[in-house]
Amino acid sequence: MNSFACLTKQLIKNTLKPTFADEKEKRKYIITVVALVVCLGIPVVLGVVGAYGLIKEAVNLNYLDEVLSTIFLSAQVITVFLGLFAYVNIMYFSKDNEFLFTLPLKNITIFWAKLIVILIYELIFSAVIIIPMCIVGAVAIIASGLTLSAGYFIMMLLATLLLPLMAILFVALLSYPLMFILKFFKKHPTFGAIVVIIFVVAIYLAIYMPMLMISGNSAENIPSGDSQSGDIENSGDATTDGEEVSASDIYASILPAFSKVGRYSFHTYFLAKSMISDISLSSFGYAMAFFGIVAGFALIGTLLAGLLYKRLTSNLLESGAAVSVKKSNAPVVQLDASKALMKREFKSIFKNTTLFIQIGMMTLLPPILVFFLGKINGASAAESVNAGFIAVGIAELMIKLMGASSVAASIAISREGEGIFMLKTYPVDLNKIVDVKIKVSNCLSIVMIVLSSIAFMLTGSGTIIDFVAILVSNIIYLSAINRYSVYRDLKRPKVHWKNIVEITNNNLATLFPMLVSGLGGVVAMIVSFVFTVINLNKYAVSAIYMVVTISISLIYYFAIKAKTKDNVERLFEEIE
Amino acid sequence: MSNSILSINNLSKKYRGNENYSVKDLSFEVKEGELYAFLGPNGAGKSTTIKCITGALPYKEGSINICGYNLHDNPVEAKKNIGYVPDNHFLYESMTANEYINFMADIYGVGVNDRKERSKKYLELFSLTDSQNKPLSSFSHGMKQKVCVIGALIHNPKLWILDEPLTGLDPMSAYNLKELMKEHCKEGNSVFFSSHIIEVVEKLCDKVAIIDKGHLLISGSMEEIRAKDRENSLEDFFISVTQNDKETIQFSENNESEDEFTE
Repeated sequence: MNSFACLTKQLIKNTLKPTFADEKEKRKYIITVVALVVCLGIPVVLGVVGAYGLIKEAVNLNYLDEVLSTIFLSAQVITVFLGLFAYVNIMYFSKDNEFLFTLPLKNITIFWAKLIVILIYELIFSAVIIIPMCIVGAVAIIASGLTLSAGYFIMMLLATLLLPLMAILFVALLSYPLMFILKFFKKHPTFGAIVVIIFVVAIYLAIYMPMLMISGNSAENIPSGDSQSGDIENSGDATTDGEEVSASDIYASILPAFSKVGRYSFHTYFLAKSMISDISLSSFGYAMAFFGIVAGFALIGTLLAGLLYKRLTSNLLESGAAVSVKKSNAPVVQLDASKALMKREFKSIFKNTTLFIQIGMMTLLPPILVFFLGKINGASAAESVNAGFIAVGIAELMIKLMGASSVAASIAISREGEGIFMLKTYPVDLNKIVDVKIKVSNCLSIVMIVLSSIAFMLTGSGTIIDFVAILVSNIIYLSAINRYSVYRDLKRPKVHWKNIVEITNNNLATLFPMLVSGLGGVVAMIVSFVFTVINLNKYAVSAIYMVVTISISLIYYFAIKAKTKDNVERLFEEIE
Repeated sequence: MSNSILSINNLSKKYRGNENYSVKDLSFEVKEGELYAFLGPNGAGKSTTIKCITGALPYKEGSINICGYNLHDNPVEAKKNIGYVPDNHFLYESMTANEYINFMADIYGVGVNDRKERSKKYLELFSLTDSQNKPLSSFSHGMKQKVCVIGALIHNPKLWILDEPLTGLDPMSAYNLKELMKEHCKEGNSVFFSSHIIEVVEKLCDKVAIIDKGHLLISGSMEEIRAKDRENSLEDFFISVTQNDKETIQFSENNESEDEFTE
């Protein structure tokens, strides 16, 4: 086996392969993963069902290339969104870099071996979008009486592999300015991390803004209730002010927007063309154009990695030696143990660049997504359905799912690393240590919830009652989830790690809270969608929703608190 | 005249963002068959130097040649000649000891027969045969150190570099390691290691270099150093030279000592 294959195999095994203490833990893990897939599968299934009508309409109106192209592009955007943290951690901040640089390997070998690990990690997310959507596309095409070649499915599989690869290579390009920012602010890592967060947020805004503008334009194209579009049967009607607008009318109105996005995304457009073109020569030509663009990306990625990868990573290896010497005249103040622990906890987050960036992103991205998805929903559904409830549903899903994804609580114990053994020696009540971690996580969650609630109001889709309901219920809800997350992590922390991604990978402690919180988010979203078709009093719905959410959260919160208190000594003792 | 295995010329290393050099104008040579110790107090620049030699850290000033290969110009070929045992004994914890040794053998291109023979020998020497298929996460500090040593020796490197190798080892393992270092040199290879333990250096080494605050204070054979101060022990000598970091004492090839001031 050559050194590249050997290294790649080892890195895959080390980063992605789950390890279990016993068979019981393995079973629990599998059940949790299945439950999580089912839970997260619900929005995917809803999306796929919705996509069928859209794709069928696209086939009839000759927009299929553009729709497929837009779907592929969306998968890449999601990969970029989810891949950035994994990329930066595995590529730059992993503790194995120092070891790997001493081995007789070219920098490019290390770069590509790590890139493949990240690709496999991200492949799952893009496959969940690309494969079901392509299958739906195939069914819609066949149902419309058109023929499909085997090339469609071959290209589908290649797309599943190559689209995330391109996205990861894009993330690689994006990472260079990020790492230069961190290098520039080496002596002030917290400030550097804040600049990185602003930079990434700006990138996401740059991605979402055109989509929002296109959606805004498409809303103007939505026909009124009496307009006709094609001869497709309506798959569902929506009602506003007594006028009926068919689903196919809505699809027909938003398809031009897909056309704009899909056509200008050349690589995905060529891919879509290669899949459905009925002339084999032209299909081959489009496929070659797509492969050419991927190869170009890979070439640029390799060249830049050859120039910059080791330089930037070595810079991080030296970071321990770069210190800013503070001249402080502030008097020394004696703090009680809780305050001292709290101070240490905040510092441990703010001074750890990757952790701070991830927590910062998870604090800022939910409000951004709430705003943009709410705006897009408001624009596309403005004249047809009750956008308010759907916007609440989107906000609820985003806050609950991403709130539980934040590592402030879910790896509160594990991120101590082997330093946890030092923490165990402190003459402090262990409940205090746990409580401090929960309080810090709650502070960060509250910031995210407040910003998300404000973002929700800025979409113009909700009332002040919705705002209060989202704000109050989610603060209590995520407090309970944070408590649960810390408890789960305390039960079996992963303290022996080389990079922080290893803690979150294949870790039940991070999966369980996501599952529980995500399930709550999905339920909230489904309920809000149901309310769009049932004519109920908005205030009554908000009140019922708040009472139910807060009650369940409080019961959950105190149950976990009691359980933690009973077991904290034993659980700390078992950490080894 | 024996061949040069490691040659360092005017190596200077300044960490980015730091005003002071961690290593300044460092020059010395390790020849074939030499057991060379690198002494210095905490923060002297020992680990920085070793990390530069092994390629873990970049450097801009000076040159490092390993078995004739310049580390800048030909890093892969240069590193093929090194076996490195770091002070923090990095290991992929999900691996077993056996998997780690095989991984290192794959990376350095060691054939199946050679790796079997060597790993059997070293696993037995360090009493790890029974633990070889257990995950490294279950190993103690000392056991991990031993696995690192085996991983570094699996390709029989021309230059074996160890950073504080005796830390955490039990007396028997420490003895075995020292014997292994001597044996490695007898086979025509070289060993370069950093240590705080002066007694070990005194008994074990052919040559020694003392570094403090990034500057080389003295380098030469043990005889040359003993000749410099016959009345006192190496420990006393070490303390006396590290208290005066301006002086660099370099012994010439023909054993005539001469003093030279760098600043």
